[in-house]
Amino acid sequence: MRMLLVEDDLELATELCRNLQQQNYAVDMVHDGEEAAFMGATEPYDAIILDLGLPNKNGLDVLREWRASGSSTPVIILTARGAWYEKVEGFRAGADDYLSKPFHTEELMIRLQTLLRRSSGLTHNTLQAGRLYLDEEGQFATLDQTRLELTAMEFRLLRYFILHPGQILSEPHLLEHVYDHAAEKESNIIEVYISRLRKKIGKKSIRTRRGQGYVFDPEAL
Amino acid sequence: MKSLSARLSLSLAITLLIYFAIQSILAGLEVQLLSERIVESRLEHDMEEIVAALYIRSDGRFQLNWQRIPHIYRRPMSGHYFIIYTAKGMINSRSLWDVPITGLSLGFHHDISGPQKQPLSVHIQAFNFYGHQIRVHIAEETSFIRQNIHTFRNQLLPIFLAMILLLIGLQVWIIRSSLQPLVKLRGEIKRLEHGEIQNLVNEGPSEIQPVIDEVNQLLQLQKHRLQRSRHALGNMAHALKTPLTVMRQLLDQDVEENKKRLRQQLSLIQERIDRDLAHARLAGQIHGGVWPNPVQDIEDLVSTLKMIYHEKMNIQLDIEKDIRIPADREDMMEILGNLLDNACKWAKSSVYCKVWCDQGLHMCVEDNGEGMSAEDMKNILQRGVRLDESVAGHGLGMSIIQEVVLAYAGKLKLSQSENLGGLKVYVRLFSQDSPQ
Repeated sequence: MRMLLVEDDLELATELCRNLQQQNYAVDMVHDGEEAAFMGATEPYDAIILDLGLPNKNGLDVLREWRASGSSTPVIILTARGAWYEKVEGFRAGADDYLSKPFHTEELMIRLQTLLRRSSGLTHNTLQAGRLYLDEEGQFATLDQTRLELTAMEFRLLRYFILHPGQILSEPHLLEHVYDHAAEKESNIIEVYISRLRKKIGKKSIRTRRGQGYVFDPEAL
Repeated sequence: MKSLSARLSLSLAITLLIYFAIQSILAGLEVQLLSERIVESRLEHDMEEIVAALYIRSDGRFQLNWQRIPHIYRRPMSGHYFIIYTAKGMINSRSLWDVPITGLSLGFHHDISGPQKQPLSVHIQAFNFYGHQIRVHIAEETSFIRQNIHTFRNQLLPIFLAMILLLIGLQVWIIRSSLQPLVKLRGEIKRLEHGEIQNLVNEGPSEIQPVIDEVNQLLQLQKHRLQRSRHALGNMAHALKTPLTVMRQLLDQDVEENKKRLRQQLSLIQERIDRDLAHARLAGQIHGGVWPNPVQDIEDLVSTLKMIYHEKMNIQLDIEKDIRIPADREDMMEILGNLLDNACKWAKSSVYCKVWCDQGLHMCVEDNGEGMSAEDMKNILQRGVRLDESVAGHGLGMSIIQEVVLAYAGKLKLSQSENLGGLKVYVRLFSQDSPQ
């Protein structure tokens, strides 16, 4: 899952970024409105955390711009302005969730997980696909009560698969969604991690479509 | 053009010019008419004398007694002429005028071309002279009329111009002096800006006095607001610095159990900030305020709350489609938002909200939560008393609502919801009868 974090306060941004990375999200961080507008419009994010009080361009305007260009990426708004008419304005601009400062980081993480599940069409309160459960706090999976320890990259890949079951996901697409903007991407890295994942959760569940990509099939677990 | 006095002077000068132009044209016409009347009466008079000098000789021919004809008709080219047409021929004046004029009816005619192409005024009349029909034409050269008008205009023009200049000068002076209070006012405002005076002191004319009064009232209001905000800031500083001091002490001690007490102090600070900000955001009772599209806004507010509470909450809204709410939009949304948010926090699944207007604005929000004991309801309505920390949020939400209702001098009533079983909060604003 790849996030865009837009927050102009460097201290808060760095802390949030650290927390998000701990939860195995690939995070791009920007600190002003114009950059945010550009990044959000050009990179394929799975969710955006947007502070409203931004230099150069107001957060609400940035959000309206994204929505006007047809983007439906889920957006959580962060703001210190708690007036109700402002919250309603945020909602009208196209926000999917709203968090008033000050907030607990855990609260943001829970909202983010809920939002991602909701936008993927998952109805469970936990990340699950068939008999496979993914624990987002502990970075491990359970398959039929068996605990499977996962590395960070395996966890990221598996979470992306669970949130997009039955879809053909190409290697460049996966690369874009599990690595952040600045990361060094090696050409065959996805192939390597997929073969490791297959060893842990079974070969059949991740099928290879030659020339197209990979498909995760929860039924075949 | 920006200057009021320049604009007034210019428009008045233009009016004056138009007035004098029309007047000089009319005066010229009047002189011409007057001269023509004089000529006419002279012609009439002369005609009578000529007819009186006419007699019929024994041979039946018409003859004039020239002695009785005014001398001017005997001198050649004198400018005064006559012709008498009889059945037996015509007699004309010795001053000569043998150009016959045809096609003219009886009466007076002006600007007829004469023997030397000079303008003539002609009077034609028919008589019954001892049983004979005669017709007398009498004429006078009138180029002097044109000359008169010309001289008249030449003499008048400089006088008119002088008058125009005088009047314009007078007007500019009048305008300047009537705008003097404005100039003074500008000076006073400048002094006000520099802090030399506290409010506008000069009395103005009745047109300007209301502006001065209004400015003074605004200044007073601003002063009050400044005082109030200083007061509020002082209170807030005090309320914030106390927990900060406690927190600093707790941090110095570096004991693990202090974490809980630190959090307590932090939530105290946040509660205070939220309450003070909610109060500061209020515009307060402004007369003539109108909420343009309340139904849309309230529906969006409910959608926002559903989004925040993840759609689990069933919020039922009961509001007239064409309700008109005469109040500040942001304030009303703050009240409703807090009422609904508080209800959503405590409801198990359903919230009911009704908004209606009937001699004031009524808002009622019910939930199906645990509700509140009568004791708690009494406590929470006493300002400054918070409920137990374990119900954090409830006390805060209510205290914000209270703050807002108080700012509007409205009524707040807590009771148990009959339909949903939880808490029922009723708010009434803008009622005519005395507030709580």
